[in-house]
Amino acid sequence: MEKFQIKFRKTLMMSILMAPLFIMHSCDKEVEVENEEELITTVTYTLRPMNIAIPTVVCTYKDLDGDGGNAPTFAISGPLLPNTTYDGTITLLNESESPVEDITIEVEEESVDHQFFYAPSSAITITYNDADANGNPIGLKTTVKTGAAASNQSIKVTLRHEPNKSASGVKEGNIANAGGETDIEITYTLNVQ
Amino acid sequence: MKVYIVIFCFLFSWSLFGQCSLSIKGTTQDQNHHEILSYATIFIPELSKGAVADEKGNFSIDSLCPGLIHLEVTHIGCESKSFYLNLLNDTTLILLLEHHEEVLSEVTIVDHNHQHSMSQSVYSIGGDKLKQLKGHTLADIAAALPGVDIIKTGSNVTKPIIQGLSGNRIAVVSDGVILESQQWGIDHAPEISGDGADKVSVIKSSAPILYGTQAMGGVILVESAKAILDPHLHGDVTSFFQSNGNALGLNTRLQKQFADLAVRGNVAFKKMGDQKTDTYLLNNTGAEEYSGNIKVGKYDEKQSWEIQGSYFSQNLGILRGAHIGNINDLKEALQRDVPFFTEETFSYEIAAPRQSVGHLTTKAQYSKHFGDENFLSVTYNFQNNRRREFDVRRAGRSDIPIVDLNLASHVFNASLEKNNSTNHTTLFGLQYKFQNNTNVAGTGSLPLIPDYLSFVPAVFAQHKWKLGKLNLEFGARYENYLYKVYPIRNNVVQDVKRQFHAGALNIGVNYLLQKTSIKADISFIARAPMINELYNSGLHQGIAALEFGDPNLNLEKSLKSTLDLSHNFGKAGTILTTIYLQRVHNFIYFVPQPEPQLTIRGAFLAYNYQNTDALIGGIDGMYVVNLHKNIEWSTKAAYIRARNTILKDEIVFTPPLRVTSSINYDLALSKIKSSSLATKLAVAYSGKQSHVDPSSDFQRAPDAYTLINFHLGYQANLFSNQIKIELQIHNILNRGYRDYLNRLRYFANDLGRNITLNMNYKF
Repeated sequence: MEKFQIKFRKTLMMSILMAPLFIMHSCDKEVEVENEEELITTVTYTLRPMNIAIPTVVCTYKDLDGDGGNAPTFAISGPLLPNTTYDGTITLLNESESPVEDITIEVEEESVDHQFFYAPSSAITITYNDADANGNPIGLKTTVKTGAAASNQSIKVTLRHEPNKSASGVKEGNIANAGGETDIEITYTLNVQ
Repeated sequence: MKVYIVIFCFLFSWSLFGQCSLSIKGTTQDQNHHEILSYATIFIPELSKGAVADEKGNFSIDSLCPGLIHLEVTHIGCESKSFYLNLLNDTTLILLLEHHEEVLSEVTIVDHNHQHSMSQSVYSIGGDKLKQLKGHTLADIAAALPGVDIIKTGSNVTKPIIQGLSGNRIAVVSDGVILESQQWGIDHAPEISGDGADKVSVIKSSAPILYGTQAMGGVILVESAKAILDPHLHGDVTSFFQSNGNALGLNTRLQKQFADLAVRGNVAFKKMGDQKTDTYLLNNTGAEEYSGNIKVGKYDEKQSWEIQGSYFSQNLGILRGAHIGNINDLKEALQRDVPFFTEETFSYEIAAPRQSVGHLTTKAQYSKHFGDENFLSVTYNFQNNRRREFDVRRAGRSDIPIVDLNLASHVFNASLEKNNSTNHTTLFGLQYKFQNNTNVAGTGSLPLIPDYLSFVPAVFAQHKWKLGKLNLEFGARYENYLYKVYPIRNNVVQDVKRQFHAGALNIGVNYLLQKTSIKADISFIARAPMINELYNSGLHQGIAALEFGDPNLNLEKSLKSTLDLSHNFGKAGTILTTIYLQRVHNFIYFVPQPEPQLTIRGAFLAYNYQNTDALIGGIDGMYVVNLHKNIEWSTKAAYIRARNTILKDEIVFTPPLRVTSSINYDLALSKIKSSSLATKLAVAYSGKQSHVDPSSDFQRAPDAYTLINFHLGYQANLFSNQIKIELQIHNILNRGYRDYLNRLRYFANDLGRNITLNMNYKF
């Protein structure tokens, strides 16, 4: 009987010692969803014709749920007219937040550390129409010229963060020596007709 | 090396006080076998007096005055240690030293430490050799042992690999506490400073019984010496300077006895700027590190307790030119000889991309002997790991961490050792581990690894059986993993509960002869998948890849067998080898997907965690011979093959063949006063990893390379204290090379010449 009591006491002691561990077992955690601040969901390249009354062409890229998930979508409002000059403006939005955040402002504020690179197909030429504090191009504003009619033309748009703007060819829009990180890399497909 | 001293004190004759005619006589013996240790040195620093024991281990020091003195005892390979004695009469001592089976200038082979299993392949590094490595990372120190390699992201982020496995599959244990941190990341180095260690060991066998199923590939043990009872303040100060990166470091260790409490502390500081390759600077590769450790204990024969706290803080830069966006950025970077963003101005500044980690460890331990047979030990430890990673971001967000993780761990451990008879020892143990991982709010980015709680109770038992010269060992362990995970999918927090039954079985045998030791060990382990393997999701910026876990992964089942052989040929030298074979069923492998994933930032490589099968085998070893009385030649080599037997290719980031050969020349300048000169010339060859299929990597494996390293050390006594000055030159010829296991090899060369000046003062 005495032996049993000692045993019982030992078991009781052990139970008390181990109790906090098993209380932990039942605890839970509150988790908040973080806002993805730097996310760019929407890239819009607006091509407004100069000196001619034809419709503006709006090229839109949208990926509202970010990396992974649903595939991104492209929308092109219409074809470009051959042998025409357009004013190009690019805007970046984060539409996953409410209200929608305009990321273009962030790029403008840090224009020294950002540059867009445009790589169009043969029927289109794109030149820079803006400059940062150092006189180097940014690429938020561009001049787009079309040549002869051609279908399935593409414009590859790349935004680099912290490129080396003084490296060879970078000011002229050649990405090869730019370095830095790619923030955007998308390709619009459209017709010149 | 621990030295245990003063067991018997016989009072011999009655001398008069105040007369300097007392003597100390005695013998030096091995603690385990009570065998005579010849030619040990006994030195009294206060009097600059000493003696060298003869062949039979006898020594005698005469003409001593009564009073308080220190005794320093040194034996080949053992670090001299100071002991405190109140000399009243003529005294006879038996000095018991813990003697290693085989002590070489490079490593300690057989360590008679009861914590270690006898059948496992255990190698240690301590004493002077460890002091030479002050200022290096823990992984760099461990890599001095055969069979240990390093996977790096530049020279600041270093992770140890034991016989091909790293990260989640090895355990890093500091003073008995298993490091709990975000070890899953290939760019996450263990948050332990190598500076506070007195001994670093590696267990190359699987060691799951005591260290959990995580110790599948092996264990790195970091130990600091137990504070000794001596009322005087003792310690040492080490300072170093490294030419590459203009690094400066200071490390102070102090110990003292207060009443009957032994206190031991350590503080270390290190600062480094941009490092350089053979020709250009590696911009933003500076580092800053602070660490501190304090240990208070009361050690009695019957019972003892110890409280310990340590903190490690590190801020380190990652090569700016290695920070890339998508696949095209990577391709561009790969084509360059000199990385992007390379500038000529040296700087100590650390900008994004960078990592900042803080790790707190606290431990309380109590142990007690019940009778002669039972030994109870209870330990509780709390660890808090905070990891913040900063990226180059827009709109001033470079100062806001993109990864901010806090991992809190509580571990409770209890074990009871029963010595049933002289030949049987049984150990029973209980363990409970609770972890809470939190993504600290405010990063403005989606977490890569989700928030989770993990609860892991474990039980284990181990039996050791001595059969003449044969020692047998059996062990079993069971772990019950319960995860509560909170992954975020489409902006909704999910609540998932997962349970795994993990465990291990182990059988080992060793056969110790005078000159030969044979150890064999086989472990079966069922390891539960870790949270990252199950639930990682998103972009891992540090490696520019999208990572996806698989919630349906199965237990990883490993069978590792190691055979460790060592033989002393006498004058022909000593050879040590470890041969191992490990088969892993359901090996959790990071498999690159054939199609890159398209995002707004362009295409990224995607990796999925998958169960596959692996077969890992290899041999590593060392040969040491004395060519002349003071000249020692040692060669160590490691060869490993690791195959994915389902995909039928080699596992990436497996170490290539490595061979290091060195000549040591030691010159004792004086017999008793431990003043000596040591030089070493080493040639280190690293082969090309030609087995890995080039299509499974971004770039072909780099070519083989050979480095030449040099070391010169001088030690002497200064005002009865010891001073040591060391000069080391790494990569003397300033060769440009890239190492297969350095992840920055895609972008830049490895480090060029590095001259280190190291000064140590011991009091």
